[in-house]
Amino acid sequence: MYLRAITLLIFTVFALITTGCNGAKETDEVAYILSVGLDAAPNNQFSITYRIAVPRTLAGIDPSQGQNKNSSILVNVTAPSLTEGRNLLKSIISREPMISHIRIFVISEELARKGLGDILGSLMRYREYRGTIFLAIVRGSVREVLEKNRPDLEVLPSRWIESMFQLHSESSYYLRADVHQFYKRLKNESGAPYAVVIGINPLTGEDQGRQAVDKDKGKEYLASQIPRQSANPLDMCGTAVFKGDKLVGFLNNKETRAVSILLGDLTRGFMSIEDPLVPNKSVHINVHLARKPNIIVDISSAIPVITISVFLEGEFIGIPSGTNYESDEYMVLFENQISNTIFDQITSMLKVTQDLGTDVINFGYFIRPQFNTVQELEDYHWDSKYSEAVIKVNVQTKLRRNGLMRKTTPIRKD
Amino acid sequence: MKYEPGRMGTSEGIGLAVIMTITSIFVSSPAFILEKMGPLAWVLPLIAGTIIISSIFLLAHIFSRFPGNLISITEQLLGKAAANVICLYYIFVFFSLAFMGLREFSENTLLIALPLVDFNTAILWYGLGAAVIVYAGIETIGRVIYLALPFIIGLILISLIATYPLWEVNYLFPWQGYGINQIAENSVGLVGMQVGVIILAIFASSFQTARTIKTAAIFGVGGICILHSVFFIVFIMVFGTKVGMERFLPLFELARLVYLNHYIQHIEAIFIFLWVIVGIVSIAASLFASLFLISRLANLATIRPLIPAITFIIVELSCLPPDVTTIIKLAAKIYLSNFFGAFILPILLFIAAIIKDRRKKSCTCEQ
Amino acid sequence: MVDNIVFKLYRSAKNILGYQPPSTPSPFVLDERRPYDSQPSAEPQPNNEKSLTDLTTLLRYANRLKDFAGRLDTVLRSDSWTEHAKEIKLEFTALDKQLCQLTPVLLRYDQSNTTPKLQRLSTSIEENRLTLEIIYHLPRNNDIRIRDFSVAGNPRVKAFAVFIAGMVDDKLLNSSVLKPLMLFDYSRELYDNDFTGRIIRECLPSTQVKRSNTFASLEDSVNSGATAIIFDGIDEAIIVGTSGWEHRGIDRPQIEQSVQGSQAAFSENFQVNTGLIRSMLRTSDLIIETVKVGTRSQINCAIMYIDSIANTTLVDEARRRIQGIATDYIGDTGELMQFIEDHPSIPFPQSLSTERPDRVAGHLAEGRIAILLEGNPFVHIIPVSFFSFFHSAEDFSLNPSIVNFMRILRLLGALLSILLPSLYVAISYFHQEALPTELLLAIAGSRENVAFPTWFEILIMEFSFELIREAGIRVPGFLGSSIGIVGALILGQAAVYAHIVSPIIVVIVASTGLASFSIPEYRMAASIRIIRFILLAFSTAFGLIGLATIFLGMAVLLCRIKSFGVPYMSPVSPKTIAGYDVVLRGPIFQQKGRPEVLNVKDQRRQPIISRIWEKINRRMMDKP
Repeated sequence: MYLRAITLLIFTVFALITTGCNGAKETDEVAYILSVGLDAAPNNQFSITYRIAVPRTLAGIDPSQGQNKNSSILVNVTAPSLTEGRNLLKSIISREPMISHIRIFVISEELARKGLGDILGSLMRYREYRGTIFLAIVRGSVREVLEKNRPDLEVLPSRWIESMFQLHSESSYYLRADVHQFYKRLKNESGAPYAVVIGINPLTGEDQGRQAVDKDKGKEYLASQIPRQSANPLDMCGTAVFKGDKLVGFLNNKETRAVSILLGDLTRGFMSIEDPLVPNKSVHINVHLARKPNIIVDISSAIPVITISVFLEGEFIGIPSGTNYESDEYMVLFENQISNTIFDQITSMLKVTQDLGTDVINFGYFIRPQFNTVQELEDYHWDSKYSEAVIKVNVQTKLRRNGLMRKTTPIRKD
Repeated sequence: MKYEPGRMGTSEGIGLAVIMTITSIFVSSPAFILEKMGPLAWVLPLIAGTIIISSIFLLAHIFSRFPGNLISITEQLLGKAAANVICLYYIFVFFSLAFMGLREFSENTLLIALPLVDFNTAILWYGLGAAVIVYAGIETIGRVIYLALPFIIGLILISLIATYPLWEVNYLFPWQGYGINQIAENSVGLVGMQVGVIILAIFASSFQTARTIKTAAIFGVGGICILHSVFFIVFIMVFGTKVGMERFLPLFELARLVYLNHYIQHIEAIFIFLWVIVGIVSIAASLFASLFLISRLANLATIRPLIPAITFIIVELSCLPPDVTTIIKLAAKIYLSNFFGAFILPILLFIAAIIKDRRKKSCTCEQ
Repeated sequence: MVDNIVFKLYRSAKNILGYQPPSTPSPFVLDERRPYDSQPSAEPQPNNEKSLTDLTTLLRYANRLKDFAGRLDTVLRSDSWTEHAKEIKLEFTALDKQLCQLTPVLLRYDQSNTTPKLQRLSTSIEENRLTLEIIYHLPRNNDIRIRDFSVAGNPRVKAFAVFIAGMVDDKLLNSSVLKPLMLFDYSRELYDNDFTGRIIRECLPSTQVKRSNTFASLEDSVNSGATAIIFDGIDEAIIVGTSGWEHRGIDRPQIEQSVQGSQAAFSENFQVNTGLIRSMLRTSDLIIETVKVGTRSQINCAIMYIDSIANTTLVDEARRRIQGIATDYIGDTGELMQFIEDHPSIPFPQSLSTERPDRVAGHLAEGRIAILLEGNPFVHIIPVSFFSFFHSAEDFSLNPSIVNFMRILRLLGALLSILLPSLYVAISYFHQEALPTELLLAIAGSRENVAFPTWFEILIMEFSFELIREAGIRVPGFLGSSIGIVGALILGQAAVYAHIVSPIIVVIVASTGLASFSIPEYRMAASIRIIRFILLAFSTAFGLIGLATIFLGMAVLLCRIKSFGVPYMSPVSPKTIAGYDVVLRGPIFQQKGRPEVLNVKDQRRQPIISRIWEKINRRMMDKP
């Protein structure tokens, strides 16, 4: 009796397992999509590009095997929606497409200018998509971007993307932009959504950069403009700014760094500042935020007044001119130079965003405590007032460390 | 009687109080509260908790005068007919808690963990699990939750804390939300949702003293309400009001958003563990309470033969509503009505007890 | 009608639906109340009547003695006393006999005033004997032996020897104590001055001999293996060192090996085993009761406990259960436990089986009961909690931080051993989003060439591992361990190369197997192994949902069962006061109480400040 009952039980469980009514999927029945790209196609359709991993190459049993093969493949379909695209994809690949490992959504500029509302709707509702997917805008063809992405250090393109975003604060030339923050800014009371800009570099080495703020020796670039000639042709640089769900403009690398300062994200940034005493030379420094910027928005009058005070700390990296900036009298001079540079960058960035009418910094976030109820906040209509707002910026810099050199002695001249 | 559970102490009491309140964090109610209350939502659990705790305190005060459980003291205070009516009422309350819990938990299981599984399989799975646990008795239910409590609280806190890169404090403002007047209306619903805590009074005679019940209510309900409030604060900070109220399963969404680095992300799988444990045990506790009351009402010698039948009825009942929206609407209505059982009835009993007490005293004075 | 599975299933279904509460008595639950705290010493109330009769008997005897003395006086004063001599002699012997009978009464009267331990030896041999019986809880206590004999001499002197069987060397006792006293010189006159001195000087060829005139010192020596000899009419005892319990020579523990602590293990000899425990726990409060078990083959079963600590109801229940076994033959302690434990159908062990006397002694001192069967080297300790199975013998001989690290390791090992394979299956089937992309792709890649589904891979490897383990036990001697290692290595490697399993499965199964060996108790490890397979089945069917449900079911089971009336998860759920020794343990000098669940007679183990020397030092330093 006992044995028979157990046998019966085992067979029941066995039946449960093998019938597959539970939706179990073996790993070799699933195709892991790593990134999705959306191009505009004629007749209101999308040209959808999927990058799908090839697990066989990543097994790690025999490393010599996997070297030459592609670790991922690219599939492109044209469909009226993402869901339909998934269906078509199933007719192309043998396995079930799995979306929950997507790292990035890449969307073309053309599509973004039309508005992303339709796309985001299904993104936020279906359980396999999640808020931590990164969001990028491409100037040009998305398919080409996904195709040309051949990272040199990573095996998988998805890992390249992940590491890029993870370590964005090393330069702050692009922001960490994911679907969650995009959606949060889109739906909540204030703040303009933003995304990262990706471009394909022609690899000609031609300098298309623009020198906007004189005192910063670094030039202003947007993705695909960085002068270079080799390596992975993808650039990630600059920020795409949205008004509502529509793309309205781009911020270049310097402006993006200014945004990063005001968002309180700048943990490290190297800068080359014009030498205040020897104008054709520059001084190299490393700055970071001493504390989050203090932003006060005064809404008592008709035109809101925004007061920003930024406090930066820094360290010398190099002083080519040999001027003794470490000493007290020169130090103040140079600190002012830095402050002025940053001030210029911030104000020019703010001017751009005010002209576009996009509150990228989300100043509307700071007025929330001044209202009692949500109705009052909504009735104030911050977005319409942002463009006229008076912004006062105050930047202070304190250089705390000299690096490994105590002071500079001038080069001997004969 | 055979179906009287064993002796219970503070730990079992805390376990029961926790399981009857914590479900309100897991299901979609936080999103509904957020829609009504806005950034002020975090106050609501604290107020609801205070109401529930005070109602348990009133009952505990009665138990310290008149030993027995909720039904037997009603019989002493208001007579047998009233006791039967109240018994019936609470059977309805726990029945509704059980079947709505069953539907919501199995429905959301499809959503979070097994999207391809057949719905009937899921609901049978939960029903079967709950029924098996009911066999173990209310004492064991309390102990299991007390055993799992550190893990439940710890994992919830971890998933809350791990979202810290996304916290934006100013989303907690404007501090009055959609208006302070919303508090009264919504707290009625939340209190009704946590009506299950009355289970402490129903099994009062198994607890050591009235003081045990009070301690269990303070630490169990109080702790969970604070957790609930903290959860609201984090949820609002991460999502903001507008996006937050769109979410169907707020706690699950929070866990989904965790992204600390390459390796620590996608932690919602942990959440599935909690989901199952809390879901099955809470259904089992409600089921046990209604079974206990039924056998009490019908004067049965034991509850065991009833378990398969009642479980089957509850499974069938929870299959009735055609879609998720219906069950949530229905639930909202029932929760509102449950306020009667959670707060008003205890107050009435308390008043009755005071009158009876005074009459007794005056009698002794005359003699 | 044929009684096949269909009918049986039908009947069990009918049983569930038409359930009647069984007519068995309610299960034994060790009560939470503390009878020993509240009751004052109103105990002797019913004894008053008895003592009254005792006293009247004594009074009657005294009256009779007085009469006799008066008659003797008149007879002696009269001239014709020779006529009455016979008559008086007769009456005298009668009185003497009556005195003998009354001795216990007298003694009882004496003892109502002082505790027996503090008494001095009396000149009456009967009285001494009675005192000893009280001290050693005779005849309940079974291994305390009193050997009556008479010393050769003129006249022969009545005497008896007290010793603990198993702790004395029988040969030594025979040849150097009993033989010289009983067999030699019949002509010597013993009742001279310094009786004991002469015995020591002339009759006892033993190296360790001393005198003692208090029961306290006598008890001390006997408890450590000496033999005490008490003579009629002498208020002094001779203590001869005869200790010879089996130590160290016997065997090292085979299963519960430890780095620190004693290295002795029980053997098959009943007497030696009880002696080992006595040698570690030297108190006369330690009671070793024996109960015969089995109707055909009557085997001694010892119930051991410390009388002044262990809960009486618990001891009674254990005795009741063992006495209530009606079976033909029991040959093993494990078999015995299945007859008496609360839930014999549940795989979790409900008693702690140990082969180490030091462990038994430690648990006895905590207030638990040990059960030992004749001819069996394993002692079972009851009641136990779930967490005791993760303690090892040497836990208390090491520093708390070291021990806690190892305990956490063991618990993690147990958790890993239960969860790892099923977690892997659940995640790779249902929740692939839960893994980092790279890891998932590595797993998927390694599975690309495998021809079987994941659950089958795991099953194959688990079964192979179980086979290797079983083979390691069955294959004789040192071959066993080498088969284990070689088998695992070669099998795993070959299976991967043959594309039967993926390499990650080998890693998982191997670490699972390794983890399962970190659980000190064999039966616990075995039951965890079974649960692992159940979990595997359900996580294959329902993913993490199935896994969590079965895990919950296991928690419910653990919270529901009781080990001899004590909840299995006791110090944690339900919460009770226990010494700081459950999952982690604190410093040993802070363990001031015994576990509350055991409801022992003496809750306190040591004062709050147990390192008194520190306190004294400080006080001395405060003095100028």
